[in-house]
Amino acid sequence: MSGDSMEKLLEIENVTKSYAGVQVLKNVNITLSMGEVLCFVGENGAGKSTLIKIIAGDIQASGGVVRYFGKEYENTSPKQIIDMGVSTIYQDIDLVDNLTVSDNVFLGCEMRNKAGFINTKEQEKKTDSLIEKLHLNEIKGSDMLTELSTAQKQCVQIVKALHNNAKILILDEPTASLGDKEKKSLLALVKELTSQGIGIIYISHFIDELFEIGDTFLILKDGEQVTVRRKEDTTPDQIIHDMIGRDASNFYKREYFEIGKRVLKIEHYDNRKTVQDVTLEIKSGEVFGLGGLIGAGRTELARMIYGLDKKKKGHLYIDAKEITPKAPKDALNKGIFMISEDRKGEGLLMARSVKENIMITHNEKHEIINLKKEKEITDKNISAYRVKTVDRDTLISNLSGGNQQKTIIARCTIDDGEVYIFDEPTKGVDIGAKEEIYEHILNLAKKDKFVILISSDMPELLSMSDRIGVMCSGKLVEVVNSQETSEDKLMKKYLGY
Amino acid sequence: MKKSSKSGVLKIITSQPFILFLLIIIVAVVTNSINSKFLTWVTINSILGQAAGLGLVSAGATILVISGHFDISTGRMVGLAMCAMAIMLNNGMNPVMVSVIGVLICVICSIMNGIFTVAFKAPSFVVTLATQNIFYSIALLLTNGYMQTLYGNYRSIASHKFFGIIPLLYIILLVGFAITYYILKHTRTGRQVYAIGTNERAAYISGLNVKWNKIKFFAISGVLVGIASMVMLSRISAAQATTGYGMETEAIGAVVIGGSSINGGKGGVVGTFVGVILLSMISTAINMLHINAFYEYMIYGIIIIMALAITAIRNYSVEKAN
Ligand SMILES: Nc1ncnc2c1ncn2[C@@H]1O[C@H](COP(=O)(O)OP(=O)(O)OP(=O)(O)O)[C@@H](O)[C@H]1O
Ligand SMILES: [Mg+2]
Repeated sequence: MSGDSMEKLLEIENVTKSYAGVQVLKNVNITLSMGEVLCFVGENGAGKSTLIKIIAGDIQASGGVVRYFGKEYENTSPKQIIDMGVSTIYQDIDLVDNLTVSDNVFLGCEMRNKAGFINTKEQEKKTDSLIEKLHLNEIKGSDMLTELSTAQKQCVQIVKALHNNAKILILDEPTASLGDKEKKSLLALVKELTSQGIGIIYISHFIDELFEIGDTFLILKDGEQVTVRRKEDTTPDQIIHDMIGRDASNFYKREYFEIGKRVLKIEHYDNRKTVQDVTLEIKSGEVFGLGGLIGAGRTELARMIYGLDKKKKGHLYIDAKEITPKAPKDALNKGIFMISEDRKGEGLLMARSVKENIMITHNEKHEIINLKKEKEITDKNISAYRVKTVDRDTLISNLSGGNQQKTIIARCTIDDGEVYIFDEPTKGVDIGAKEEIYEHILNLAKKDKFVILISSDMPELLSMSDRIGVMCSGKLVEVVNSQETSEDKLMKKYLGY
Repeated sequence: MKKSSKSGVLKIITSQPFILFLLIIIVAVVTNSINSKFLTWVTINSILGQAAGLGLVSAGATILVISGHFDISTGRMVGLAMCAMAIMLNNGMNPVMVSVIGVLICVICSIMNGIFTVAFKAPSFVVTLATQNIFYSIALLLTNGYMQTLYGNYRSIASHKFFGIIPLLYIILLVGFAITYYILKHTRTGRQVYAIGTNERAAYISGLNVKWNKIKFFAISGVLVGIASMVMLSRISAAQATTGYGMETEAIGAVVIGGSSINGGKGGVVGTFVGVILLSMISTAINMLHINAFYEYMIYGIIIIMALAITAIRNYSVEKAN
């Protein structure tokens, strides 16, 4: 059957990986064919990213074989594997902010002219033609990366991955930071690539997305291969069950309780650019959702409320008392917490331990740190949030993406506060752990706190919020009762119909 | 339980301070086998005495390096403080008062470095590259370029011995390192050092007052540099504008040899301590082995490169072991 093996882009046989004696992958067997979309599914820390890194040559497997295009290679470097036609887009965006799009695309393999200088013109031309081919018309090769949105950056990553004729494209949670609209165009892009015969490996925690584009699902649990399923023979519920060993729904059934009497007033917040004169009242005990397209100004509003970004105008009150913070430190002193959507850039202390990452805000309270108490609080939070880590002194960079996210949420719930702003709190979190985070968020509301939830995940926003404020081009256009709306209606409002 | 104590031992013997400690023993034994006067009380005293000034400056440099900063004006700062102190002493001022002023000079200079760094959002390397010239000029102006000799004044810091055996100098050195260790491990300030050195943005959003904290780190370094100036003035009994020059690079060298990361966020002061002892020991060994003194700097350079290699190999083997 030589014809069959020709079609096999990738064969993984008995691949195993362990870190310091801890097995994170055990005997994985899977193949990828031309034009196939193979999805890796599993909880946070199941080993999905690890498997990808092994394929990309970023780390070495402890055992087993990876065969590329029917051949086995020894000691391959990541560069060699890229040159073979295997491109990988990792979980966190890896682009250089102060370069142009085309400079980023050609970073490390620049086109040179006769004199040996970088041929910017030619690079831009090539980039533009690729962009056109992928129908990403809003981006130009000469744009500075800083001017692009997260979604557009994600697209640049794909352009970069494809510029040297990749035959295998690996995507690790590419839609985690995207809104609905961007998600749709990215999925369409992936479909188009498969029709060209490119094999895709795809990771996502959104089950519906997997069913939209996936052909085959490899389900991992604690590093073990649970099973492999074909789309036509399975259902989302079955996959979820395989993954977390119990049922869970995409649509969370939250508990409702009585809403409090205190009022948080957000008055005339304005930065004359991305946010225009937003005024809002939120009741204590309420989960107030903020919906809108990417770029609608939700994150910008949250950052102004937190005292992080500059504003032209805006005051914050609880009942009659003004609490407008001047800076994050001031916000925290007044009991206002915020979790940034940019986990790597604005959340994590990558070179430090899980402990220091959880305790950083709390430790600001006293000059002398009680080491014993610090350990206790850390351990309590590791178990409350079920952070998967060897121990509290493990480097945070060794945790899986979803587990890093959990530590950041833990950081904000150690001390008692008043106002909690969650900006995409379940980004990269698996469906089981999402429910746990929802419970933590609801507990805050139950304790009569003010909770603001920003989410681009429509089911999440609808199922978690009491009311949803819809933002569009920097303005708050409407506040709707989430019980009385639906995904479709909400989407129309996002688009401004 | 068993497993964790075993990995604890492994952690210690693969740590940078431990490897440097082994290196110190090797150098000591080799040197002593060639010149048997090496491992005597007199030599050890001279090594530790020499280590005192450099050690205190290096302790401060450790805090700055971990927080992502460099102060390359500390050498000139020492020169300025020593000259000013010498002049005041020769004018009959009270030694305690003079010491306090000496430390204050260094603290003020350091705070200035910190303020410029924060206010102009400039790399501290460049800021201190500029200010070191200013400090040097002031020292030249104060002394008119002449050496200031103390004629036996202000000797007690260097010569006092507790119970007739334990030199005050060592106590100052050890206390300086102990306090720095305590700050880094047990205090909010220490956590701020590591957090800001790792991810300034995340630190700010997590509620740290990053600007003020940076100035604070410079101030702490200033205190240590000030005490180093006192110690050195007492030991040398003289000062001129050029005194201390070169210490800044030696100090940063000691920090790097000790395994702290130039990229910030990682490291500790124990490694720096061992690094300082290693450097002082080697310069004494060069003397005693009658090696041409011109080699001294070459050997320093080689040691720093070696330390980088050790760090790289350690990182590699840790990865490999995983
Ligand atoms: N360098 C490392 N050292 C030690 N353990 C590691 C290292 N890298 C990853 N791990 C562990 O390996 C396990 C698998 O991690 P991986 O990143 O593959 O998970 P994942 O399935 O991608 O999860 P997520 O959905 O959260 O991204 C995790 O428990 C993680 O803590
Ligand atoms: Mg992952």
